[in-house]
Amino acid sequence: MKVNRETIETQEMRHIEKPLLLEQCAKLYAEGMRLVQILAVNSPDGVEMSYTFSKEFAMVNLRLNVIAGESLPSITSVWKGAFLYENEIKDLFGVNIENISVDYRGNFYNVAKKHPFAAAARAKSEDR
Amino acid sequence: MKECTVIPFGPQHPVLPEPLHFDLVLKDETIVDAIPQIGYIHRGLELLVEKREYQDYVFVAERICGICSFMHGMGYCMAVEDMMKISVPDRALYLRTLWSELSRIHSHLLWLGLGADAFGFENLFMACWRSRELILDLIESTTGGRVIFGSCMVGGVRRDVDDAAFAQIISVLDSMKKELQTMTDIFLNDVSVRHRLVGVGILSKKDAYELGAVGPMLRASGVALDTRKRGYAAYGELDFKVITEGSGDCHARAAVRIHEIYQSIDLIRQVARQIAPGDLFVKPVGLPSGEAFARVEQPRGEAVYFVRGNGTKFLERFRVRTPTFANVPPMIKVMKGSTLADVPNLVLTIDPCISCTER
Repeated sequence: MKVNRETIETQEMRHIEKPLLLEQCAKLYAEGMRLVQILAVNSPDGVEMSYTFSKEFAMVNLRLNVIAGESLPSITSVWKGAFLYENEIKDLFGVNIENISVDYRGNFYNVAKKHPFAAAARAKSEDR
Repeated sequence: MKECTVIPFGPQHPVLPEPLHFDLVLKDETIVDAIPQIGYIHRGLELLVEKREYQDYVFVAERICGICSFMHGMGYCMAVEDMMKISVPDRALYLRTLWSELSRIHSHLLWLGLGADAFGFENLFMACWRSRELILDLIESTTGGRVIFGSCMVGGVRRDVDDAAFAQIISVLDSMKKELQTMTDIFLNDVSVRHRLVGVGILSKKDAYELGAVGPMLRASGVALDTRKRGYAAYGELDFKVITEGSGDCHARAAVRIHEIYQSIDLIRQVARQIAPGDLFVKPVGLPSGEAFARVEQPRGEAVYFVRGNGTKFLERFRVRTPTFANVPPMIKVMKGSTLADVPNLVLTIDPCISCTER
């Protein structure tokens, strides 16, 4: 039988500014979307964050850039389950996420090197 | 107020199959908090994507986990194919579905065995793993590997499965029916098993959804969400319903997995009936540029893959959000208020894979 290649999923990318993060998350929560993941990627001037939400098979990504040294509000006031993603990003990328409802204070990942995924740590490692 | 006791649990513990550490905060025998810590087997597989050509990286992606190995490779390939606009041949999509469902059966049988071991039913543990061996034999006969399949590639699959092999698969699955029925009866109806599982670690539908649970953990709480319904690979052409349970306890999670074994057998039968002759792969043209997300329903739940290319043969970023990671907050939730004796069941109930989680 021939396969229909049209999946029923839709994907949307919304670029937002940092002050709008909580408001946008609350809006998606009210629309019945669930938090799928929080993704961090190193960017030239800091870290690019993507918050992925989904309802049934629609996917919405909120994307924003965090400049090195800046802090970011936690979304755990809206999404309880976000604390694990935020602790991971804090431990691995060194992003200063404030007011996480369950903050393990850098003890979630038991790694020898602090913030191993952060651009500065990686540059140092490559120099060696 | 009674003083609390902190018990370190893991990363190496007789009832823990995975290197996960918990600081369990107890008042008498009751858990008031569970503080997780990981990082014991972090291998930096995501970073390795920058040093391996994108087509070779499939072999690394498969090694993220020894149980969902094929599906990790497939999820990575799906994301790259989406980014490069590659249209995979139909036969390859059906074969990916076949190997995915064989993986699901062997993963669920592995979990059921470990679950039986955790609540002290050794005989049931051995029965589950004996059946699992038959599935591993089928995987070996069709791919050449029992753990790492090495069959998925960007653009399709490396190996074909002929009609005789499909007949052999169906015959083996038929021969398992009696043994599976016995196991089902024990897991769902045996008094001692029910005593250990019913009413233990209840996760409400609301909590499951809001804490981001996925897979059998989510479906056992009554949320009908299965990424296969999205229609990736050949699932869009197959007839199946999302399996759910309502009680949200350990028993419901075991029930979902048992019913999914029967569902996977049915899906494999449908694949065998519907698969048509055709090409196995298309050759990718150009170099990956841009970014893409892909979602796959692994035995443990939804896995999310992200890739970003920069126009070279090396990708800039690969990230996988594994189902175990998503299921840790719900696991902590169900541990609070439970007794210390139930911890092995509760940890196993999410079917943890820390190897996946740490990448």
